[in-house]
Amino acid sequence: MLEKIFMGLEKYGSLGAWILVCFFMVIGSLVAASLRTLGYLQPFTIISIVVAVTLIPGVILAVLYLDYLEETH
Amino acid sequence: MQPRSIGIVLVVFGLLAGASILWNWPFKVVVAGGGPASLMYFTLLLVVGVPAVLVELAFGSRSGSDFPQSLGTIRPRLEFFGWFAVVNAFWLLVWLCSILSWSACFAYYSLTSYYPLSNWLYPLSGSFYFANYFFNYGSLLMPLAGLAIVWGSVLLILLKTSWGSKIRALAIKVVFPALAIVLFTILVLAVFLPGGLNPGLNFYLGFNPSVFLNGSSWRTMTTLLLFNLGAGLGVLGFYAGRIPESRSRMVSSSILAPLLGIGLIFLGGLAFFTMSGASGLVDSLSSSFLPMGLLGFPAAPFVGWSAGFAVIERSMGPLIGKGLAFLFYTLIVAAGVVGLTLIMEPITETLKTKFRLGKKRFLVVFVALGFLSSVPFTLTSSFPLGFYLMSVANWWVEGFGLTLVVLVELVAAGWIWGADNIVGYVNSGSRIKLPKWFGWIIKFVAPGALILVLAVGVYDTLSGYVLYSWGFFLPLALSWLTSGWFTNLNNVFLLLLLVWLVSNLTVALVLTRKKPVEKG
Repeated sequence: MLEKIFMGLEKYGSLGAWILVCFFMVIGSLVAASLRTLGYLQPFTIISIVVAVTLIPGVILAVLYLDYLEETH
Repeated sequence: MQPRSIGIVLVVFGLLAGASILWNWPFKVVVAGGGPASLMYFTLLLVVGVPAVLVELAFGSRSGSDFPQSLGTIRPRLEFFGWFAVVNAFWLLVWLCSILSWSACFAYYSLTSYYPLSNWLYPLSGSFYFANYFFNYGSLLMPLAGLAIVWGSVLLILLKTSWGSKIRALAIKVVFPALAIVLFTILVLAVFLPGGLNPGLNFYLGFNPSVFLNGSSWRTMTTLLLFNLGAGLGVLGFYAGRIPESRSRMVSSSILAPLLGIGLIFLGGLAFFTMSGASGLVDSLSSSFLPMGLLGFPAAPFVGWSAGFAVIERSMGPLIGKGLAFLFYTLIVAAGVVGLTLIMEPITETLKTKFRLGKKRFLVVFVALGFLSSVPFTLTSSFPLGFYLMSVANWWVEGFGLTLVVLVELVAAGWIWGADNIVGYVNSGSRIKLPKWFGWIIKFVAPGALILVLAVGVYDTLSGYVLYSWGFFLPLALSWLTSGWFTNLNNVFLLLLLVWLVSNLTVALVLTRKKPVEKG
C-alpha cells in the first residue's frame, strides 16, 4: 500500500515529501479540532498535537519516500 | 542472525519505548514539570538525537567491529570509553529488567481480585489505600518471580539462536502494533472521561513558561532522549558494522529510528496523562501531578497507570478495565524481553570476543550476574527500597553515563575524525545525502548541548535537586532504616554513585588493558 502511495507521488519528485508532510499537518489540525469539540484545550496543546502528528507519521513517511525515490532512480 | 537494519533499529527502540512508556517517559515529563516537555524533546531530537545516532552508526559501519574497538580505531585511548559504555549498558540492563519485573507483577495483579484497581475510590485517600496494596501485598517474592521470568526468557532466547530472529520478527509484526492499538484504545476511552482533556492533556501538552526556562527540565529531557534512542550503549554501531546494507540507509535510519521510537512513546504519554486527568491525579489548580507529593516520584508512573485503569474499570466495567491493564503490562514485558536480547547481544559478543569464552557458559554466568544485580531493585517492604534504588540508579546511569559516552562519541567524530570527513563518509554510501552544515551540528551544537547538560547535572546533584526521589517517603525511610550509616539517605545515594562509578571505571580500565585472547 505504501509503495502505491509512493508510486503516485513519484511524478512530483522530491516535492512529494513536502506533500506528505503537509497532508499530515492537515490531519493533525483535524485531530486537534475534533478534540477541541470534546473539551477545553489550551492553544499550546493544540499546537503540540499538530506538531506531533506532522513530525511523527509525516516526516517518517517523507523520509521513507525519499529513500524509495533514491532507490528507484 | 542478520536481521535487516530497520528491523533491528525498530526492536531496540521497541525495548526502550516499552520501558519508557511504562516508567521513564511519564516520570521524566512530570519531573520536568509537564507543559512543553514534549516539544522540548522534539527540538532536542533534531539537535542532539539525530547526530548522536548517526555518529554511532557511522563508527560501527566504518570499523565493522564492536563499539570499544571502533572507538579505538579513531584514537587508541578512546577504547576505554567504549568499555565504559559496555559496563554502563550492563547497569542499564539491570535497571530495565527491574522495570520489566514490576510490569510482570502488575500483569498478574490485574487478573487477581486483590489488584488495587478496584480499590481506587477517589484520588487522595485512594492513593494511600493503593500504596498499602502496592508495597505490602506483593511481598518480596512477586517481583523476584517477575525478575526470574524476565531474565529466564532472555537467556532462553539468546541460547536458542534460531528462535531469536523468529521472535524478533513476531515482535515487529505483532507485539508493537498490538501495544500501539492498546495505547490508542486507552487514549480514545480516556478522552471521553471527565478530566481527560482538561486538565489531563493540557498538563501534558500545554505551555508553562517556568518549565521552558528551566535548565533542569532541558537536562531531564536530554538524558531521556539519549535513553530512548539507545545512544551511548554501542548497540546501534554494533549492528551497523555487521549489516552491510545499513550504510546505504544510514541517514534515513538515523531519522526514522528516533521518530518511530518517539511515536509509540508519545502515544503512551497521551494515554497516561489523559487517564491521569480522568483519575484526578493531575491537579488543575496547581497544574501538578499529585502522586509526586503523595507517594514520592519513583512510584508515580505505576500509580498513574493503575489509577487510570481503575477509572476505566469503574466507567466501563471490569472486563475492559482489567483486560486492557493485563494486555498493556504483558505487551510491555514481551516487547522488553525481545529488545533486551538485542541489547545484550552486542555486550556479550564483545566480551566473548575479548575472552574467547564458550557461548553457553558465558551467557549463563552473565545472566546470573545480571539477575543478582537486579535483586536490590525489586525489594519491597513497608518502604519501597527497590523504587528508590531504581530512581537513584537512573540518575547516574542515564543522567551521567549515557551523556558522557555520547559526548565522547561526538567529540571523537567532530574533532578527531573530523566533521567534514564524517559527513563525506556518510554521503559516500548513503542514498539520502547530508547537507554540509550538518558537520557544524556534530562538531559544535550537539557536544555543546551535552556539556551544558552535564554541567546542569552536576549543579542539580550538588544543590539537592535529586531529593525529589525521596519525597513523601523520607520520614518512612528514616524509621525503616534503623540506625547507623544507612539512616542518612544521602549516604546511600553516594554509595550507589560509588558502586556505579568504581565498577564502570575499574572494569573498563581492566578490559582496555587486557589483550584479546588469541584463537587456539
